[in-house]
Order: sequence, then structure tokens, then C-alpha cells
Amino acid sequence: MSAEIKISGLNQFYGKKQVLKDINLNIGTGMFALLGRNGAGKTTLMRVLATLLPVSRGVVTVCGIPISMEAQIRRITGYLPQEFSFYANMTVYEAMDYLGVLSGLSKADRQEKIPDLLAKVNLLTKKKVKVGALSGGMKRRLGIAQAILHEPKVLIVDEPTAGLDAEERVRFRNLLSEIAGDRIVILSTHIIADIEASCERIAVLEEGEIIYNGTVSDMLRLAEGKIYSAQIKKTDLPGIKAKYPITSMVSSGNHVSLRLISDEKPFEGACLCEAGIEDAYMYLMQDKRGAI
Amino acid sequence: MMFPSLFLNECRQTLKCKTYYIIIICMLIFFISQLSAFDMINKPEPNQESYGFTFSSDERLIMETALQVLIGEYNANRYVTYPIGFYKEVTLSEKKQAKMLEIIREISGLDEDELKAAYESNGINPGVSAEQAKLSIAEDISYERFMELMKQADKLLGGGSMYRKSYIKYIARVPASFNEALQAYNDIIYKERLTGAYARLFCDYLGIVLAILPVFLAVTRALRDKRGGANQVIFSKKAGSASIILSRYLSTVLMIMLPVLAIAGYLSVQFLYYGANEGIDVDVFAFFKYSLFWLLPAVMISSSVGIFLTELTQTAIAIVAMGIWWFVSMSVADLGGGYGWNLIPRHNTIGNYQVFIDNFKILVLNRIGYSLLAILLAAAAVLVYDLKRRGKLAIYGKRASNIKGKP
Amino acid sequence: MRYMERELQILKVNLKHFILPHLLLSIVLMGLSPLAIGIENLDAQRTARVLEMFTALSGIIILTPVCLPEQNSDIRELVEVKYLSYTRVILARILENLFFLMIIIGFYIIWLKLNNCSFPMLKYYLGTLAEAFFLGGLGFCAFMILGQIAVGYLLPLMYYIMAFGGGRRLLGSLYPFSMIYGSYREKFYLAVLGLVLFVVGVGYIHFYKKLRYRKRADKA
Repeated sequence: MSAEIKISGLNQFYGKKQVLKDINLNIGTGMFALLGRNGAGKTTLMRVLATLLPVSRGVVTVCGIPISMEAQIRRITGYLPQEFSFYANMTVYEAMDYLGVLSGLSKADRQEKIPDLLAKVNLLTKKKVKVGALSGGMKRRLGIAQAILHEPKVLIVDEPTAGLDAEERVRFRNLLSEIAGDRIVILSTHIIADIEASCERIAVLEEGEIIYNGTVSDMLRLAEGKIYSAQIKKTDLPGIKAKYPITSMVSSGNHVSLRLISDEKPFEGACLCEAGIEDAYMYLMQDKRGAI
Repeated sequence: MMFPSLFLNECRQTLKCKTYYIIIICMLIFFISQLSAFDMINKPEPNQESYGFTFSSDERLIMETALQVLIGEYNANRYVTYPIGFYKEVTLSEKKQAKMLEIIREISGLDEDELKAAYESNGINPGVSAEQAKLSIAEDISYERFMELMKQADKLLGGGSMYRKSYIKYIARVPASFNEALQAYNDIIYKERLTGAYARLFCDYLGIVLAILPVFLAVTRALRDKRGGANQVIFSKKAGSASIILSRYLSTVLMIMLPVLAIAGYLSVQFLYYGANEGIDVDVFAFFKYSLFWLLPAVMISSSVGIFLTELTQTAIAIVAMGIWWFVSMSVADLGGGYGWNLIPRHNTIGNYQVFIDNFKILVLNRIGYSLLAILLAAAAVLVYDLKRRGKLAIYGKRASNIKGKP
Repeated sequence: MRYMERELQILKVNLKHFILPHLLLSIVLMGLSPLAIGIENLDAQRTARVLEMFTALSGIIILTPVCLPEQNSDIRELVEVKYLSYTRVILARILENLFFLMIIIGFYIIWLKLNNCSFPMLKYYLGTLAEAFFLGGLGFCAFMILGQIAVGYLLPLMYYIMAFGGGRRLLGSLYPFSMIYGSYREKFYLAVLGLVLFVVGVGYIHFYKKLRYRKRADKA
């Protein structure tokens, strides 16, 4: 069985509205990021891969299995939705146990795996706490634990750090990297920091279309020589903003330190610098769409 | 000035709600299925074969009939009661039977042996009607004393017996005479101006569904915040808890009453035309007046129970609570017009004007009482909502305001 | 055995976390009934009245909320992506809830008999069960298709109310209080229609997603 997700000519519709247009992707093992704005179609693609939405048009296979064979697909995929919620009156352990049953695990398997997983996600001490009483971060960790309980080959995580505070976000990213192993892990996100730490390959989705598909380093190369940093007066900011796309900005008193995109040196004082993922993403969006 | 906007917004939201339209359809189907009861009355003519039945108000006849029934039940030690409308047979202990015998003795003036003899020779049984009453009551017993004794008898039986106050005055059913039938007809045409009598029947039927249907809309609305994960967002807004809850409550009441008033309007027009053709001066506002006076309190109660219990528990338990209340009210209802404190006062005949007048005071108190209770429950719902908003109501060990997303 | 263990676990979770309050409510209502309803020395007609107008309502309480735990769409989504299909979970719950309904009605029938009520036990048991099954099926199907539990309770209740006023004429072969008049034919129709409603409800969940998107994709 090839450890690969193959998406070919995927077109997805909600009613008359087309939300995915001619998506072609091959996703192998490792961490794969799907980046895009809100409403770009990321969640729709995730839900198709998780068999929550039937394919409108196109061919999708997961590890050689056609997506229409739902039962087999669900055996090898784990899904953490953007909004993770579970029966509030169950304890953490009961929730994991029940989800283990639904995942097709035997009692012996569940008894063996659940405590280990809860320990891994730092929820073992909370195993008797009701799900309804968990914080957002704890719920998210419970979500990832249930997604990998049955040791899926494919892990689909939609907006992994949505709703988490800064510390929880870092912890969660580290956790994901830890559990990735030799799985196919697909992360959909609009937060650049989610990708920076661990994703090697990335696809950028905009208005339902893939506008970039490749490695992170290749994406960075696209923006090479186009990213400048400068420190300007606050009063000059509106003029510069009108002329150049700004990728980041930090205010300090009367001055602003910023990074901008330009084919050549925009003005005196601007320095060429190494592109980051955020810069490259913004460059891509500007290049494809003409404006940000 | 936030309240009017909130209120109108809630009304608009209700118009988008599937449950609302299902409720209207149910209301309409139910009403249409009962339309045949709204056939027009005819003026009684002399020498008709029957003028129906009436209840004799002859105190002596009432006492004699009641005594017959009581002796029959006493001898079998099997008393029929309807505590919540379902048939229940009560068997009394020796001690209570002895007390019952005392009551019988006082009413009949006979001792035990004489009673037994009279029972056997006259073939007295519980089912005999006043016409066939063969046993006379004691000469010196007053009607007031008799009613006191009936009250004691009913109490011995645990309530709901045929000897209870609301039933005993209707125990002596006799055929109506032409004059009585004509009087009843004239009451409808002239005192009630036709529509009054039909409006009462309209309220009798619609009251059945209006005591329960609004709770579904109230529960749906109150659960919508939970379903949409909107609780926290709304909690944090400027609008006061009273504005939020009362706008929902009042919009539920209004939106349920609108189709009721529409049906009332339809019937008013029908009767207006009929009255014009028959030369009857109908009260064109009767249906509206009765709808507001008779039906509105039931709608208010059902809505307030829905909103209060749903805000408190965040479950649909209000449907169960109102369902039980509805079931009991329906079961104990006196169809003839003994309104009492029933949530669903019944008046299942066209006319019976005298019964309505006799019980009007209690009906007014009933409706005012339920309206006040509804307002109290709505106020309680505001309080519960406010406590939740300030994080003072705990659910699953977490403060209610801290529950993120959808529990 | 492994397969059975998983199914049993689903039934255990259903009983412990989802259906228990509803079962307890039914039991409490039935248990308290002697306080208000006569359940002693009833003849066949009066027994039928109690069973059809009161006992059968437990069908609404126990069978309508089968899918209530997944009313939250996020939970539903999570359960739907699992290996064990959601349809199978629902079917298991329906059968379990029906089992408990049969037990509760059965015990109530036995209780009536022990209280010296005279009636044909098996016929009345099956008749009451048929009506309860239908009421529950109506509520379940309404809840599935319209998506709101309030509607799930509303429709069977409206049917029940309709049966009161002129119901016999109006509802015909689907009249729920037929045993009072000594007729059982209606119970057969109610049972069959109840089954149809459950099939429609389950089928709707199972096929809805596919039907909706296939129809729209063909048009695009």
C-alpha cells in the first residue's frame, strides 16, 4: 500500500457554488501544510479527505484506497476538526474509550493505548475530569489524542492551534511534530507559525485553487531578492503602504520597523533581507492576485 | 431604547424558525378538525321531540339523586372517582366506611337496617337517575348542611368523586323543556350576541393546544444560543439580561397569538356575515376579547415555563414539565364549565351561559392568577440568565460563563 | 467476540450517558401513576384507556431522543468520521431503547394484572407497544429530518392531541385509542408505520449527505 494521498482533478461544490477548483496534489509521508486565507477552501478539502463530504468531481485515493470506500479510509485516517467538541458529561477517559470503540479498537487495545496517549498529551491527571470542564487547550489535546488512538497512517488536522493561547500553541506544535513519525500529516492553517516549526512541504490555497505546491524552501526562493526591511517615520507610513505590500510591521515610538515586497530597492534606507515563510506567502498572494 | 429593536429582531428570527411554522400548521389542523362543532344553533320550536338535557337546580332533586348514588357505592364499598380524570376505584377502610355511613344516615334520616331494607326493596344502584330516585331524604336537612356532608364524603374518597362541589350541582340531569331550551337560545342570541357563545367554544378547543404548543417555540429559542455557541458572545454585550430575555419571551407570546387572532378575525368575519343575513346583532369583537382573556394566559404560562426551565437547565426538560402539567390539566378539566384553577378551563358546549356567569368570578381569578405566575416565571428566567452571565451558575464544575463553544 | 464487545460497549455508553434519564423519567411517571390513576380492579375497557392514553406515551420519551447526543454538529462530525459507522450506532441505540421500552411496558402490564385488572395480557401488551413504537418513530423521524428535538416531541404530541377531539373519525386506521373500543386492527397499522418511520429516519441520516451532494454535482 503506497503511503500517499493522490488528489486528481478535484472539483467540489456546495450547491451551485464551486469551492474547490481543479485540485491536484500528491501528499507523501511527513508534515504537509495547507495554507490559505479563511474561506479559501482548506476545511472543505480536509473534510473531503476525512470522508465527511462526498467528492463532487475528481479522483481521490488515500494510500491506494479510493475515497469512496469510506470504512477502509476511516480505518487508516484520524481527524481533528477545527471545532473539537464531545459529550460534555463524559470523563476524559470515557470519551477516549468510546472513541476507541468507534475506531474499531478492542478492549485490550484501548486499555493499553489510552493511558499512554493521555500521558503523551499531558491529560493523564485529568482522566476523570468531565469533557465539559476542560479548557480549550486541554480539549484540543484530547482531540489529537483521539485522532491518533487507532494509529492511523494519515492524520488530518484542521486549524491545529485555533483558539489556543500562545503557550498552548507552542506546546501543541511540538506535540504534533512528536507524533508525526512516518505518518502523512496534513495541517490546514492560516497561521504561518504553525508551519515554520515542522512542515517540509506546503500548498497554498486561494479561492479554491492551488496557487503553490512544493517545498517550503522553494517557496522561500520565489521571494528571494524581493523582501526588504526598513525603519521609517510613522508619518511616511501611509505613503509607503500605498506603494508597496507590507509583510510585517512593528511600531516603536515615532518609528516603524517594517518588511515590504519590492522587485527593486524601494527607497534609501531599505535593506534586502532573507525571506521568511510569511513574506513568501504574501509575495505569492500579491503575485497571483495582484493585490493583498 | 434597545428593547424595541431586540424585540422586533426576535420576532423576525421567529419568522425564520421551522418550529414556528410547524406550530401554526398544527394549530390550524387541530382547529379545522374541530370546525364541525361550530354548526349554527337553531331556534327551538314547540312540540319538538327533545330539547336536550339540562341540569335540575331543584335542591331536593339534587339531594335525592346524590343520596341514591352514594348508598349504591357504599353498599358495594366501591366508589368511583376521577382524581386526574382517569377512572379510579376507591375502597374505603372500615373506619372510613363507618364515617360514610354517618353521612348517609344524616342525609337520609335512616339507620343502617332501614337503609339496607330500602336498598334491597327499591333496587337502588349507583347508576340510577334522578327520575328513578326512590329514596327520600331527611325532612330536616338543609341544602347547606347537605353540601357540607358531600364535601366530607369527597374528602374521605381522596377527591375527584361525584360528590365534589363542581360536580354535585350537575348530578340531577333532567330533560329540558321548551321554555328552558328557548331561554338558552335567547341567552346566546341576545345576551351573548351569538359570537360570545361561539367564542367560548373557540377558546375551549384552542386552549387545548395553546397550553402546550408555545413551550416548543420557547425551548427552541432558548436552546438556539447553546446550539450556535453564541452564549459567551451575547453574555458580553451591553444589552441587559431583562431586555434579552423579555424580548424573547414577549416575542414568543406575540408570535403565537398572531395566528390565534388571525383565526379569531376569520371567524368574526364569518359570523358578521351570518348575523347580517339573519338579522342578529353580533359582537364582532367577541372572538378577540375571549382570545385575549381566555387564551393569552395559557400562552404566557407555556412560554414562560419553556424559557425559564430551558435557561436553567439548558435542556428540553421544559417540554416534559409542561407536558405533564398539560396532561393533568386536560384530565381533570370539567368540560361543562367548572373552571376552577385549571390551566385549561373548558367550556365544551355552545351556550350554557348561566354556568359561565356563575363561574365567571373564579375564571377571572384563574386567568389573572396564571398571568401573574407567567410573569413571575419570566422574571425568574431573567434572574437565572443574569446569574449565568455573571458566572454564578456552575455546570460540570465550571462556571457557566466559562463554558466555551457548545457543551 | 471482539465485534460483540464493541457493540456492547456502545450499548453500555448509551445506557449510562444518554438514555438513562429518559428511562428513569418513564419509570417514575409510571410508578407514580397509582396516586392519580386507578390501576386496581379495572375492567378491560378501563385498562385499555390507561394503557393507550398514558402508558404508550413512554414511547415518545424513550425512542425520540436516540440521536440527541449528536445534536451538536461538531460532535456529529467527529462520530461520523470513525470506522464504526454512525448508522450502526443509531441502530444499536434504537434496538436498546426499544428493549427497555418493552421491559417498562411489560412490567406495567404485569403490575396491572397483579392489581386485579381483567384484560387480555398479550394483546394489550402488544397493542400498547405498537402505539408507543409508532409515537417514538414519529418523534425520531421528525427529529432526524427537521433537526430540532422540540419538533421531535411536538409532532407525536400533536398526533396524540388530535386523537382526543374527533380522533376516531379523523385518524381512522391510525387511531391510537382503538383498544378502548375493542379493536386491534389499528395497532397493526401503527406498528408498521412506526417501522417505516424509523427506516425513513435512519435512511435519511445514512443517505442524506450523498444524495444532496450528488444531485448538486450533476447539475454543476
